[in-house]
Amino acid sequence: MNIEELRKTRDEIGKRRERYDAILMVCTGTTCQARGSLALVDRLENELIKRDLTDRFLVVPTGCLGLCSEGPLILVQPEGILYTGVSEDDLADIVKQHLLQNNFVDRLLYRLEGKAIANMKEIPFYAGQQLLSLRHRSTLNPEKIDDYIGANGYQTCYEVITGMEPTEVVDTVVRSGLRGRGGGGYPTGLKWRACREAVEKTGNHPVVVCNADEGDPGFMDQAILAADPHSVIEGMMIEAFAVGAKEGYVFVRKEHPLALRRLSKAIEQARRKKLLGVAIFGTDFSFDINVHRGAGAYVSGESSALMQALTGRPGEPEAKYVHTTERGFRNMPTVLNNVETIALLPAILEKGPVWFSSIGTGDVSKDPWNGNTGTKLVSLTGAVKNAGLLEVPMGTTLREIVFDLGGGLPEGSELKAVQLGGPTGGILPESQLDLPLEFDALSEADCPLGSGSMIALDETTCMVQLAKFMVGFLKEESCGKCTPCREGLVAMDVLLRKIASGEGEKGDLDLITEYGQTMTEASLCDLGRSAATPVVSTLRYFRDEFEIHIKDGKCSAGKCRDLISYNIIADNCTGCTVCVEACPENVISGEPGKPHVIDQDGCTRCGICREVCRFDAVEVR
Amino acid sequence: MSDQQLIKVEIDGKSVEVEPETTVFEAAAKVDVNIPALCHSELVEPYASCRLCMVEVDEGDGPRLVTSCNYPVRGPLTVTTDSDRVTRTRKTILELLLARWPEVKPIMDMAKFFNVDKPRFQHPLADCNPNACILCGLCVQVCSQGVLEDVVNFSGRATERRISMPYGGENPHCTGCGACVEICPTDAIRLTDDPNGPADPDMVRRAGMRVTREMILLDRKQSNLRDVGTAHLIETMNENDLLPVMNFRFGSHDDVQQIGSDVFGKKYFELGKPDGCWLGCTVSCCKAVPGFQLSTGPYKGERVLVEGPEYETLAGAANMGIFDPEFVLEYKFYCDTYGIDAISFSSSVAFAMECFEIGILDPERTEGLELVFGAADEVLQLLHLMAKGQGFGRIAGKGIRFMKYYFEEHYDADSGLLQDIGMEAKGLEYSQYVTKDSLAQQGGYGMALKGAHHDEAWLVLMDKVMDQIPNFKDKVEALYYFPIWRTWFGLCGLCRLPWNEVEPADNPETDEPAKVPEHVQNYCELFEGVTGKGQKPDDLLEMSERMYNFQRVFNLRMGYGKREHDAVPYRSLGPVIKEEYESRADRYDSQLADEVGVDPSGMSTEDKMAALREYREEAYEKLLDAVYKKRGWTKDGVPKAKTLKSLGIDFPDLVNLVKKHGG
Amino acid sequence: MSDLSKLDKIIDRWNADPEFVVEMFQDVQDQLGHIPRDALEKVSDRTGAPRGSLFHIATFYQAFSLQPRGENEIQVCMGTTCYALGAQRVLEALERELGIAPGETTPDGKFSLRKVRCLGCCAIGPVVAVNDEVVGTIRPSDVADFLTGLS
Repeated sequence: MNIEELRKTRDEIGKRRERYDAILMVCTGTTCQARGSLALVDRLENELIKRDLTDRFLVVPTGCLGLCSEGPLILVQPEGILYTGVSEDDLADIVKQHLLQNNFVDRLLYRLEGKAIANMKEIPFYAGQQLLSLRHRSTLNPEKIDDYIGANGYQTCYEVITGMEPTEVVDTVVRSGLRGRGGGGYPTGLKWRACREAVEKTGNHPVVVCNADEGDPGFMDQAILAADPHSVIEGMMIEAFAVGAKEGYVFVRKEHPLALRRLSKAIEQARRKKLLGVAIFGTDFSFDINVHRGAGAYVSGESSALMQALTGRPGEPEAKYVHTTERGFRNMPTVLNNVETIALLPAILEKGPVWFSSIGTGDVSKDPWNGNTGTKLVSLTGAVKNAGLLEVPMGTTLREIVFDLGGGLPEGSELKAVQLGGPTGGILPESQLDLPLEFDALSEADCPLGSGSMIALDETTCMVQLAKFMVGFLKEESCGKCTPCREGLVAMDVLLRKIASGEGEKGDLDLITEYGQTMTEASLCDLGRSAATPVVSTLRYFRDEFEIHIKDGKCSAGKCRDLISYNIIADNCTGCTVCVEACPENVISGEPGKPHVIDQDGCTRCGICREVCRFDAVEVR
Repeated sequence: MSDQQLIKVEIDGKSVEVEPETTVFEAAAKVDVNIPALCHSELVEPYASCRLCMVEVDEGDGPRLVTSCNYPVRGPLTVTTDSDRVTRTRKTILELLLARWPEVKPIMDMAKFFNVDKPRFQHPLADCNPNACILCGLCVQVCSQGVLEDVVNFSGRATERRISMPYGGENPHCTGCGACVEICPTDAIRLTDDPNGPADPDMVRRAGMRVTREMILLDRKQSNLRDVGTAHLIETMNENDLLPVMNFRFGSHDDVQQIGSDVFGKKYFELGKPDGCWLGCTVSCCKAVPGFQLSTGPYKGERVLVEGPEYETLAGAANMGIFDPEFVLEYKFYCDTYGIDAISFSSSVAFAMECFEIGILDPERTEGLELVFGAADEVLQLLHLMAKGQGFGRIAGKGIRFMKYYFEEHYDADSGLLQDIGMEAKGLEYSQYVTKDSLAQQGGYGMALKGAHHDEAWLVLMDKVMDQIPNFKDKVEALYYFPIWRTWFGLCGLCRLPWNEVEPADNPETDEPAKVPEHVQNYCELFEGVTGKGQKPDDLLEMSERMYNFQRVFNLRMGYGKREHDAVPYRSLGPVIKEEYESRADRYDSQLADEVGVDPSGMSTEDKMAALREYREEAYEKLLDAVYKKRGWTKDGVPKAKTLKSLGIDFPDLVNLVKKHGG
Repeated sequence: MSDLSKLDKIIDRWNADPEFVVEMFQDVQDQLGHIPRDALEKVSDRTGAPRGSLFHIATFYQAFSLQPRGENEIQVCMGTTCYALGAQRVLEALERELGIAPGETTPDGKFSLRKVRCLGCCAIGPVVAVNDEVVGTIRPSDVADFLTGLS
């Protein structure tokens, strides 16, 4: 495809879109799909066919719209009216009322404190966002390359390939201040520069690899790939041109079938249009992308482990003091970037480094390390009203994210802490919420940004249990190769269990800290080196809570089973027998109409009685 | 290596200069600074999993903790192996290890050394077996990198990580070589195989492990058999003017690098790992080129796996004047597929090419083939014709001895010239070494019982490259000893590559480096381990000498066992044509002056060639005399009855036969 | 013996390329329900990938199992968000109802239980997937009915 054809397609798509009175963007992100949104697409299309409205209205299955907790979502464009929690039964009303009579279907609108907000842009969750890596959100069908071209896609890489020197591209990215979104925060441009130097030194061919081996949480990179796969392809083309690579690899887990399918389809489409392959745009630039469908293992996302996994070996980290940029995949100089980083590239090259660095914080004109520019994807989950995927300028405070965009916690709950950066990330108490979303500031607070996951935790969270969970998670996900990580996590696990069961001793916390330090200093890979972070940060901010467990044998959050009991408040109990029926251990006795009693000897404190009780008659002591 | 800049490293106050990329661990060993480690061995690549070898390095930007086993020296650095931080780290790691394996000696010893007492937590997987596997991974490493098998490996993940064979238990792909047993620091691995009943399995394994150890440590420094196989010889032969080019006329060529071992090593040998003749062979000289697309013949267009090429195949191409790697693969594949020996083929074709160039053959006689040196397409056509028994292939396919007869008989060619340039002895084509300046190798080819093949007395390297047999007497001794010794390998069905392709590091300092005494001793142990019979090197030789003489008598009975049959074509001894002489005129001229005693100045090339020929033919005859005498044979090359008797093979029909021929 | 022609087809699909052995194993797992010994042997023979390394792969990833899995595979997301939202108790309820631990299969071969790390539906946690179909916001007290619905 040459530039004339590209422009022609773009203009045609624009015109075609204009023909429709409205376009219904049905979210087919992972979460909405889990709630049946694919069926909505079919039903909606049938509805339009039945009413002979296909000339006036278009249904587009689109990528993740972000407000996952409210899904399935349908966005009516160009007005931007968002419908939430849509079921198949609602579709007829959307067509009849909204499309034909121009009345919004009130019951499906997003509500803030009881008040309906129809327009997506006015919903606080969306109003506070700025979209760069997700800039095509709610505008295109990820399975159609023409939609991407219609949104000016592949124009930027044309300009880059035909009008720029590779080193100019590298310089542009250095000046933009872009830092790797996978968690490390290493300046992307500097990585490319190191790769170019290694190529010069060794004469080996460079390779670009896109790390989509997203572990936990697993829906940010996947959302980009599933919503806008061509932006990743275009980003990789720019990257490949900058470092001189002919081959690109994307490593996606099998656990993310949607991302995998849409990316593979997009690559096929790009090949057919000769946007991938030999002599792209008639230049001497050739590039193609291969997809590896990895099996899931948290540790395989580590860069040296990923290089192993890509060559069909166990995805285990390799000990080496050589950078991947010098010797990575098949021992070639390799640039490894994550999906979000790559998806930002077309925008940076289109609008320039000054534009990009004006978003976010810091002055990166001289040093990319000296700032946090651009935007960052955040997956906001846990005890917040609005959970989902959002993109905000770096430097936005955590408080703004949780309370303004996330809408705070549900009535009656209080925020105790946020957990950042997934299983190897850290914990911050409510008091630290004014920290900005920045690599360095958060690392200094022992709570690295990681890939941008943010989990809001309410007052029912026990920090000992949370630390135990994180350690337990890592203990199972460690590859087991090096001693400090494999055995250190076991030691921490043993000690945390001791504390959780009320048998903690004075000195246990110091011991945990000591093992943690050795793990951090002596482990083989980044997973091992960061495996102590959750515990270190929890201890830093919630040491009191641990000490209360040890000294007083009490769990204030009511989560440590050896330290609590479930009891029935006789005054509240109506004797409905629901808990008697539900108790898996059959240890609740009582006759209908009379208060029930839990036999503490047989109770495993599974909590089901409390969950099923409709009268708040079960309490935790 | 020597031209690299040495880098200064300071370790605990001691200074040492090392080559770049030396590890800190190796550098420390040079100044006797001991660093503890559980997963490290010189036999395998650094694995850096136990993390005990951590030290602090400072490259000018403050001290950092690194694993010394794999930290490369790239610039000046200061190393501290006993700082508080290092010691604290080691102690914690030892505590963690001790918690899990409280009774394993290497861990207990190190823990004691670092004053680590009792672990401060109860490990849920604590294993009190003193021979517990501590997951150091040395067995995994040695199996894949050393033995090149990768049967023993890790399984599982995290605390489920174990050492295992696929699906547990024994595995048919494990050869029981015992390398993992030898390297295991806790004796956690036991051999349970049934080793086919050798008298002393441990003795066999120890001998085998010696080979494995040397292959791991020395092959890359000496022969590089694992990476490029015997192809490594091509450069050596070319540099020493011993590589046959254009029917043995010349010994080197500028284009040889195009079919060099480097080309094949980097571009074609892509099996992903070295390959052995049998599972567990650590020499692994076999090579193969996968996915090669054929461009001629019945399989044209198909992608095939080509075995090799080895040195002989490559040199054979040079002998036909062809320096194209793709041609080499094509002719190698079809020779293998048709069941045609690539050595005889290339030597025969080289001879035919020379006949074509000097006009004995022409396109009419070859039925259209322009058979000049370098004509790759024609060679492939000829190969396919040979296989079909058609056209000129029907004649060339019968070999040089037949072609000589045929060309003389039908084309009236000069018989003497044909004899001089037709490179065969006893009817077998020469293998690919130029022997003009190696008297020992001339004898090695001429006297070889099976014909002109090098496996019996491959002396060219020790004669012309290593200069290990400089005198006439040495050469005679070599022609006595080596054919007998090498026959022993065939007698026992053993590979000879571990004997002298990779030698002990101190071999050059021994009395008889050419014989590689330490390895001969290792073969004695192999023999004893299998048979239970204690043998000394001389015992092995006697077995072999008996066989060697027996074979000579067999030759005699078949009409090939006398002096006349040990004759060689003159090109084996010296330059046949003017061009051949003149291309190396300096060398031959000085030989005339120094050895023959003739002043070459003012002489015509023809006269010089004649003088040289007379001298060399005489030397060859003298060599036969001396070697026959040493072997206990008559002047006519027949084993004497006395010799047979002393060897204990004086069976009546043998004795009668040799007596009939004057023996 | 496994269906060898199936194995050949799987290996062919990936051109017997040793860099794609994980993909081959995924297909084997999907089609045969586990990684049988002869599948490993065949993949090794045809791709040249060493056996030891293949066995390491087959036991390294939780997606693979050496024993056949149950008719219904129940995956409980134990990602951080799901944990924070109560996944541990959902898992325990499943263990209790099925009488098996994670990684095991019920004796009647009907159910396998497995922990997974994040299914990408964090906003509707805790999440359980049955035969790759995701069920969100599940509560421990829902588990018994949920299993009845499956069998």
